[in-house]
Amino acid sequence: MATGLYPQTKVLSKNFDVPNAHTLAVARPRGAYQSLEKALRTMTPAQVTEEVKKSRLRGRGGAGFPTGMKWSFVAKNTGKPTYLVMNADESEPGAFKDRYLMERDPHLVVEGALVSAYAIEASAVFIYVRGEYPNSIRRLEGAIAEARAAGLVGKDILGTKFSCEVWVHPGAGAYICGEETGLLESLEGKRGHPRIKPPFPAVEGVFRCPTIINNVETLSHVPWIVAHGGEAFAKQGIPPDPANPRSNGSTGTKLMGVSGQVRNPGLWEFEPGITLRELVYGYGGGPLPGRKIKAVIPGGISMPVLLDSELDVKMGFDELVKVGSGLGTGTAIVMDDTCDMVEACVNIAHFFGHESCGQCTPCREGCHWMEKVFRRVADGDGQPGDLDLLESLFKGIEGRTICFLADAAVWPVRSIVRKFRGEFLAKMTPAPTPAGA
Amino acid sequence: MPKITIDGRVLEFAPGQTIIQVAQANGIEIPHYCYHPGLSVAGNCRICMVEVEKTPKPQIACYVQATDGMVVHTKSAQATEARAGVMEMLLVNHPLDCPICDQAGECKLQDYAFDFGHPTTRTPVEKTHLPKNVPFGAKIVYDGERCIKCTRCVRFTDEITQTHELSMGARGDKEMVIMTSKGEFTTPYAMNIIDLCPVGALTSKDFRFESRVWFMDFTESVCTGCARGCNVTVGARGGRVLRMTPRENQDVNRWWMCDAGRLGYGHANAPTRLTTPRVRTSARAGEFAEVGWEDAIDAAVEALRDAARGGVLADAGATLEELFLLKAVAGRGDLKYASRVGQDEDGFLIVNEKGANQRGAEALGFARAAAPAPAALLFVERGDAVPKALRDGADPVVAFVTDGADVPPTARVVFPLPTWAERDGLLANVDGIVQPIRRCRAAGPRDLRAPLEVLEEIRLGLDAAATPWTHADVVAAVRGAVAPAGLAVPEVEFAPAAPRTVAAPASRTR
Amino acid sequence: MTPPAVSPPPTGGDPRPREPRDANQPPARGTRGGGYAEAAGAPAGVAPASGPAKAATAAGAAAAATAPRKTPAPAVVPPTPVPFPPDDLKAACEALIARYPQRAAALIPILHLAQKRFDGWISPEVEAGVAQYLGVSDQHVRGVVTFYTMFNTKPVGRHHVQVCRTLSCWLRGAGELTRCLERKTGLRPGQTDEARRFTVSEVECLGLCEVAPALFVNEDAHVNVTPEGLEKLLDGLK
Repeated sequence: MATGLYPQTKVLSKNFDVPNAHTLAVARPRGAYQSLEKALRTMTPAQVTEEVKKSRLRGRGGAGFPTGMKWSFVAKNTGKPTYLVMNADESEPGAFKDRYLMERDPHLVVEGALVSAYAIEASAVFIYVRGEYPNSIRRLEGAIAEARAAGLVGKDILGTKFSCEVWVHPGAGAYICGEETGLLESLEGKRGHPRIKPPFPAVEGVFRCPTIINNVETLSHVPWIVAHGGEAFAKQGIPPDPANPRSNGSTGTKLMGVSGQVRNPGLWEFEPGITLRELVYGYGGGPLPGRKIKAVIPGGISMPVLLDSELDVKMGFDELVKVGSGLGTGTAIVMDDTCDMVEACVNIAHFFGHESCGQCTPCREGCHWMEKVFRRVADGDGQPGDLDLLESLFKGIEGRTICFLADAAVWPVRSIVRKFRGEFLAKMTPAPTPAGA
Repeated sequence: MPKITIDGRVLEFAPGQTIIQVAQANGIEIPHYCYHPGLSVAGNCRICMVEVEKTPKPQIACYVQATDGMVVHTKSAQATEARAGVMEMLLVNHPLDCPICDQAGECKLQDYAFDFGHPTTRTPVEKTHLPKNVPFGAKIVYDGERCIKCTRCVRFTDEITQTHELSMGARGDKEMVIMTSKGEFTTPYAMNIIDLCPVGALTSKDFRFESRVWFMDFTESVCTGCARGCNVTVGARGGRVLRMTPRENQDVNRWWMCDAGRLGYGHANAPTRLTTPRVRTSARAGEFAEVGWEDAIDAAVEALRDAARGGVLADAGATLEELFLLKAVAGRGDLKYASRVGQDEDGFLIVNEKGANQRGAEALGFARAAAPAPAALLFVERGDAVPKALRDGADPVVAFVTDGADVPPTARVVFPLPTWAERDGLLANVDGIVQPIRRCRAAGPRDLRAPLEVLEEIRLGLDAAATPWTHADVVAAVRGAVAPAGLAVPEVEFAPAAPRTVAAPASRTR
Repeated sequence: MTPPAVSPPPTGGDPRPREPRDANQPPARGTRGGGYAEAAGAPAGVAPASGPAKAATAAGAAAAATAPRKTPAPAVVPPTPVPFPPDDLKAACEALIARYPQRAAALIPILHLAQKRFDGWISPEVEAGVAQYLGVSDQHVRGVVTFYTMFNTKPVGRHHVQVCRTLSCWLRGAGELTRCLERKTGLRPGQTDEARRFTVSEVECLGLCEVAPALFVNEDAHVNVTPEGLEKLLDGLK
């Protein structure tokens, strides 16, 4: 990579290019399981949680919820086992970061799971890996087997009183199982229908036991936090806004990726602070020859798009919200000037319609309805009221369902309809008088 | 007690109650499809969304618990708009086949569309197609396109019967209810899912295409298929019972009834039913002449006066009042009842004792007929309740029977007996709960007279000094008579006896 | 009326009854039709305004319940469950079940094993076998199989080509790949050729966005696929 770019900080990705880093023989001399050892021998579970709280680590699955706070919700003294579930159902289109972790450094993932399980006093970890990641499943299972043989997984880990099993549970093709309660249902062998909350999983999760669910990347940060302390982590990246006591900033490092219509799609690791423009133009290599970038979704398909003129925003949780989008999974999708934005809406709406679990009326019926309207506009059969119809569909779908899939279905297409209204009107002949929003 | 404000009304509630429960308890209607008080909360239909102050998004009233100081609006702009949106979504792929749908007229989709649907359609032309006319066992038909995926039926077989014959299949807008590949329900309560279905997705094969519901006459009554006494609504038209559906009674049957009871109305529509009184015309058994009611009553009085014996053999489906009058007329002899006893008691609703008023008969001093014995009066609504051997052995003087096949050949006078659907009266169920059955105006053959009236006239004929009794008098007397047995007869208003004529089917051109 | 207070009937008790009634119903797959298919499904003239169509003899409730009077359903034999697990999967299945506090939780991993073992798809017989083994109802298994896209409910070809159609791949030419597949194999998404050489599917995001467009042939990922590359790939699949 060319110099002068925003610097990479390789914490999670330090072993990505090391040959055979997925084996214990290579990973352990490079530091794997040292944090586990430190935590088990020198720290109480509460101290681990405290360090994670201090680190201001926020969930890397898309929602950005503070991890330490989530852990503190876990119901204690219930007489039931506590479970840790690692959400590796990375089905957000545009996201592929967890796959790198699982395939290239599975021992980091397992160590992160174990240290976190120790912190919440879980007796078992289920790593729910999407079925479309057979290599990730193989690598993780291999790593777990090696770790078990080395006394790092199972009973009396490292000779301490801490016992914890780690199991890989494969999904089978359902985006909704990335939603944490949909995932829990799936883990119980059922259809991935999200549950109504409350109760929240920390109180009643999988098998009706207290359960904490975290993303792969989130938990992979925990070994570093244990090794270097929460405060060191909190010093990296974007600090909390001092003017806002509820702000948590975007601390530590973050895997960020670019896919779509750029020269150099890929995955890198940065302390948050890099702008979306540097990510797309610098690391992503900018537009394909002879083209211009038209729109970028900053974090997986379910975030609103930003125009080329809006890319000078820092890749941070709060910074992207301020410009009407979101960090999501931190993996951007780039659309250039050859992309037909109406067809892009058809594509996106089809995805959400296909992945809607079918439970709630607005999502089940609304996503396909949106797709059908986009389809007819794309086919030149758009009707004068269609944009107003779409706006009212967005309103009727967003915030009206059990889980957030419906909201995610609305955000990207609504932003496209609003930002590329002209493209829609151009397909309607005769062009109707613009009305509504 | 904590208080919640719904639509400006300050209401007290018990902690744990949901918004919809508080609303319903106070007569505030919040539309709902997937919510049913007897089932777990699914929260998926989203039609019950209401506005809760200090909450940005509309909330589902079926799941959100009331909290002290909560302020809810069910008719605000936000709530109305949310509901209308869901309503429109539900109709996106719903077929507009109301003209041939059995549910039409009692369909919550129609009702709510009428209340707050969009006046015009904005839906795309092509609807999603799903399997239709799918048999769910021998008695139920499923239509995947009409289905709104509320999962009430699935939850019923999972939670109430725990027989797990239904699940949801596929996903997204292709989602639908699927049934076990065994093809039949093992639960005897399966047809409750038809009533649970808020739309016309689950229909009864028995009732399909029989009648538009608005042409039918509905009467609140009690099922007499067994001694449970499930509360029902009897739907009839043109002299025929067309349907029975359960009615909520938390002390008896909650919201449910069994399939056998639901379908056990066949004898009311039998073509072999007796419709006119008969008097035997010769010494030879089985030779009868049809006569008018007054002539038959006179003949009965004469025959009973002639007969040297008394005694009653009654179907345990006879009401308390009927049994009381049978006893008054022929109480000199043995009082016996007969009923069918099954072997299918299941700890839920079905009980082995099939006599709907067996407890009442016992309370009035009737004993189970163990062996054939003579009786002056025979009272048989269901032929299988009183076995032929007992009927023959009774060799009655006067008989009340429903079906021509059950006419005792040696009786002197035979009165056609209206079925339970056509009579007013009280039954004591297996737990001693006394409940009314009610005359359904549109059921049964024309011009049948209530056995209670006939028996009263016979009683007066036999004893010129007797004081005439009204139905209310009989009920009062029964109340005293059964009290020692622990039966409490409630205050019940019955419609005044009227000349029996069958209500003509409502005009088709209306 | 208000009946005297008595203890209500047990709820959610176990009314699990006796033997099943006549199991003669076809599975829950209906005929697709327009809005009026149902009317056509009703035999004409079943309901005369009066008469014996609805009449039953006074044989009583039980008889009426067991003798539906309309539309006698054709006899259908439920699928015969395959013996499950087969010997070669026994150890793997038992190890999976041991991971979870509830037996049924092993359903999805076991279905993956079953699909690989039984010809690449989950037949009704396999469904029934797995259901029996895990102690769940067969339609629950069907509900799960039809929820997750990776389970095939129809036989598939030896080479199941699954082209990602979601945004990143679409932006990089996934549509070209689908058209190329149709040209080469004559198959549209969802179809399998008669010889069961290929099944072609369009799938949602495979998580190979940075190397788009991507596709799977069975479990093998192929990335940065061009139409020319795809043609060569297909030629190599026998």
